[in-house]
Amino acid sequence: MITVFLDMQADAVKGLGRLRISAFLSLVTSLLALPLSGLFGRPESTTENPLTLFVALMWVLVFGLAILALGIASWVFKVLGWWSMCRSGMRKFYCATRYAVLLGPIVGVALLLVGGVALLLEMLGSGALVDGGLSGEPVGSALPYVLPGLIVMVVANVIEGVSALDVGLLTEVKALTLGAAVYLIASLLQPFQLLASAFSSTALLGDAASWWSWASNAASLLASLLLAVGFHWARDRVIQSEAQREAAGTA
Amino acid sequence: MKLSEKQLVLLSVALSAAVIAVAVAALALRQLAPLPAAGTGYVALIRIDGAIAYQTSQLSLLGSTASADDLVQLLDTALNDPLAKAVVLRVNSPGGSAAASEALYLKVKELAASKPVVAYIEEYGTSGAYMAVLPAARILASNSSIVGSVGVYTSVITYSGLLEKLGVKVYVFKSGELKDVGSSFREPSEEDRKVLQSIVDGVFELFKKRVLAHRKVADEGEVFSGRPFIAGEAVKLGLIDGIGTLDDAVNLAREMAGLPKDTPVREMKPPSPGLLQLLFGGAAAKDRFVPSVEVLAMWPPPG
Repeated sequence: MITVFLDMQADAVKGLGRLRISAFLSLVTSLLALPLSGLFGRPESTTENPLTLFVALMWVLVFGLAILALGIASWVFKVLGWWSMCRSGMRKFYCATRYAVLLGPIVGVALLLVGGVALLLEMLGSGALVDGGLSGEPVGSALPYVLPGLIVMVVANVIEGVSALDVGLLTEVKALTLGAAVYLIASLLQPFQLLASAFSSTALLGDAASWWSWASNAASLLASLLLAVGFHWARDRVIQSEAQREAAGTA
Repeated sequence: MKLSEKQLVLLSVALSAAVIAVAVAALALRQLAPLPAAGTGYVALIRIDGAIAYQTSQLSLLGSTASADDLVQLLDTALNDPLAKAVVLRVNSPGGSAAASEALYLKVKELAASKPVVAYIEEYGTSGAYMAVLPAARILASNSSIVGSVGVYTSVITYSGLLEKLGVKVYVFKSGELKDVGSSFREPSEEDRKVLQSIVDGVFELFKKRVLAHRKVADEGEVFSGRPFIAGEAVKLGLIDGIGTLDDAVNLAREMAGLPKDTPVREMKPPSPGLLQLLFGGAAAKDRFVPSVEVLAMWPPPG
């Protein structure tokens, strides 16, 4: 019985450690991507100012691959982290979380890519690419893929956020609880940011696009920071409680 | 405060449902959003450059070509775009094949029925190109432009003499006497001449009817002689409405559409050819090219 208990603790420590790394990598990714969102947040300023466009392109060339690699690494650690948390047997919900964080981004990105291809084909067909967009955005063919893709990704993030919130409450680490809450808010803002940037200009979201973008990025940064710190403290808390339990057992 | 497994599931479901509901509501609101105000439209500018043809090759007997397919597609885009409040056709073409000019004419007619269309003849607006812009509400031309050349011609080039000198013999097997009408391997017979002339006359009659349907021509004999006119003469004969600049044409289009004077002009261009099309475009164009017996063009071609 003691052996089983120790295995559970070991898995939890391992899982929290991986989640901590994941959150840290996510923080670095967000920081590297921050100038891009700042530069591309206002499309008109980018197109009007060649220097801004040049800086943005150089940034993508230099850090684009790093951002992609760090993002993927963060996701891998996240999947492994929740996998360990599931194995620890603390919550059955964590097992659902591991599948959500594994499959959510895969399905979501696949749908977004299909939507992107559909959009590209529609724009090529209408000649909008050559003319720089004639007028209304040809988004009709992309919407059936983009919207479900976004929803799948956000639902996966919500499940992950709720799990992180639960870990924060269980371990009584306020930074983690707060980080999970901010992460949930960031996840809820995410679809609006993407929708605003994809379908903006003439519609309701047009003027709010840059605001959504800024708010979502700020929330993501803050969440990553708090989660990285929170998972670190939660891990320490589990190790400490294990040490106390061992000390009590010895005594 | 600690959450039970059930509470975790409920919280996740509630938040996910909220996201889906808000996303769907935002999209619904977007679709219900009012259309842009009239002042936010633009004037579409479409160029009709070079000989009008279905072939896509950049080189032809009459110089560069304006692909009828591309132009029809652009006109369709302007037709279906609610923000394109008016259209200006910038013409610099000596004409082209009858079929391609016909396709353009019909599309311009459809466009002119739904929004103001102003044609501006820059250098040449003759024959098939002139026919194509006939349905425009107004036709303006630059002072030194060439307009008219209302007519049809066809030409048959024969190589029989040359082939004979080279010792080359051509044997033709045909189902009917006129099956190889217009053949380059023999001199045209009297019957061939009659057939070709009747084709030319038939197309010309159609052209003539269209000119008379859209314009009040002052001197039919002069106009339908097939000769081209400079802009001043064309105004007097009723072939065009006035002389001016491209800016005048754009301003007229704005005025006709009830648009403010600062309404932007957006040039609509056909898609640029890709690398493969540039490399193998000639071969592809050959496959698609169907020789047209009758030609609506000014002869000799400009340039």
